[in-house]
Amino acid sequence: MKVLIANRGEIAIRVMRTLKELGLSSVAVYSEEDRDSPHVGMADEAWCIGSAAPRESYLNINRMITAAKIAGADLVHPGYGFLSENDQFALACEEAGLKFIGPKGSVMAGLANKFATKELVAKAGVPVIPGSQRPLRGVEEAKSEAKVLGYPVLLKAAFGGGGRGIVLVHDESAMEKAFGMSQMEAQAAFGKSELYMEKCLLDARHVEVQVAADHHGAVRSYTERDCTIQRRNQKLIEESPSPFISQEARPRLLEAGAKATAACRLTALATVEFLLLPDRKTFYFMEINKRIQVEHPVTEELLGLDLIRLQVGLALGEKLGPAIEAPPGRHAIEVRVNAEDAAQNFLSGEGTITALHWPAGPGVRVDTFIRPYLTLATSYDSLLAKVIASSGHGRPGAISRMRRALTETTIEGIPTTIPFHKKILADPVFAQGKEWFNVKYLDSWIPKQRFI
Amino acid sequence: MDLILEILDWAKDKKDLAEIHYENKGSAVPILVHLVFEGTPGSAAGAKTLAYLKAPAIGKVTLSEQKTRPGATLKKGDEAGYIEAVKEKTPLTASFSGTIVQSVAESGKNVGYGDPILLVEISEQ
Repeated sequence: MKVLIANRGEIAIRVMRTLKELGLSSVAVYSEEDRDSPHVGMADEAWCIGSAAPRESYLNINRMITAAKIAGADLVHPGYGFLSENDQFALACEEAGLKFIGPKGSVMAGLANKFATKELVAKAGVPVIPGSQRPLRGVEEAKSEAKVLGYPVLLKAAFGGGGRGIVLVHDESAMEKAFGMSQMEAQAAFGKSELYMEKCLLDARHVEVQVAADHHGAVRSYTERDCTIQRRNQKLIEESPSPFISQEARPRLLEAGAKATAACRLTALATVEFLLLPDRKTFYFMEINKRIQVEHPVTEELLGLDLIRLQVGLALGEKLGPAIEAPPGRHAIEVRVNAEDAAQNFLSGEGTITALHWPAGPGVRVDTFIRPYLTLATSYDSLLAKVIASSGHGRPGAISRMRRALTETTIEGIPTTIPFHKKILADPVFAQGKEWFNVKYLDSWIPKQRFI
Repeated sequence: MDLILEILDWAKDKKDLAEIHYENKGSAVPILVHLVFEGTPGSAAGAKTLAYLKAPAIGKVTLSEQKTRPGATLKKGDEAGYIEAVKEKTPLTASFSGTIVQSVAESGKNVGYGDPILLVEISEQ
């Protein structure tokens, strides 16, 4: 059986590795700019589908399907980003006789409306962020809703997602302008101006649950991941288990994740995102992602799972295996190595990699696509690699291992976020993991640092 | 070494060749090969420029037999064929004028974006 990977970079290589272990053939696609990118040579077969721009290549549904048909693929793995949560793509695959490794296209289409999804999940008994009872019909309704909820509030695009289409409103005087702007942005970015409102929860942590559901009715939660270290709503560090959820609340959180996935009728892998409050036991549903996540290795290393293998199995109609628990004392942590210069406000870097050496040894994993002398593509995101450290000696063991791994790591020719990670891992608040900090922590922490 | 032998093999029956300049930027190991042929004074004046007409899209290529047979004249703007993809048909339009040397791709076969289709001796760009 042949699987076309509708993606690039590290996730394309990640998928190919599992495919090889399963004895399945891989087909890569690439843009003109990615001709020399390592994922191309690693596949059993590769097809150039267009010029550099994502809409000419990795976001182009027709060209992706063309490649799949030409190559005689049976399945399509969409990776993350790009077309992975595009219901039109999933439907186009189904129409073309290709098995899409993810939820059914019709189910995805039904979940495109975030507000409707929130209602569905709430009906299933999952706590949701306090907010408007229905989409906002105008700025006057927005003002009255905000009065009830209490400022600050968030205006959210009903068809948005991935941290986009969200506007923070501090008080009533800002609402008029914010509402109009939000509607315009939503229309421009997502084609629909529908908005809803949510209370802005200050002082929350981002904790998400990895879930899987098969075609036989079984739904399984695996573990939670704490992704509170974020910059501009983009995760930089993820870990499991979360050091900030109480023993009592953890099983409730995992159960809420399973309930939300079942309510959405997903028969695939999913990640349910929650916000956790400082009492360490109150949590609210935020969003459900119906694809493999960037930070999936954290769960894999914690539990000894292969989530890509699980995805392929689910797509082929396999039944979910039994629940898995992490051995006590086990902890996993991941850092995202981006081509960004922390000393220049995380400006994206360009260039050619002139030296490269990755860490190794016990409990260290590197998921990457870069190689020596690679010239970085500039049309796509800045993720170079993920370094994952896991240990049986708890969170201190995992952090110590990660710090050790980063001292062994050399990347030259381009700026990277490694200096940032070395600093944050040594930060007493982060390292001790006892004193509460929220998703805005880096906003006040970064300006205090000197990155050279 | 293999690459040089391949180039020499390709060049062996090209009568008026004076120089070949081969460069592959951005590959794992950058290669620059510059071969100068002795013994044909004045041939530089008659030097030819060869170029590939490349696939503007991924899909099945269909070539106009008449327009793409060796020796045929190609004018800039001519449509030498087309590429069929899912819901998209892209014409294969000449971006330069010249004479067809040979077809590199076979009509009816699949090509990727940027794949060479026709080798053309350019007369005007």
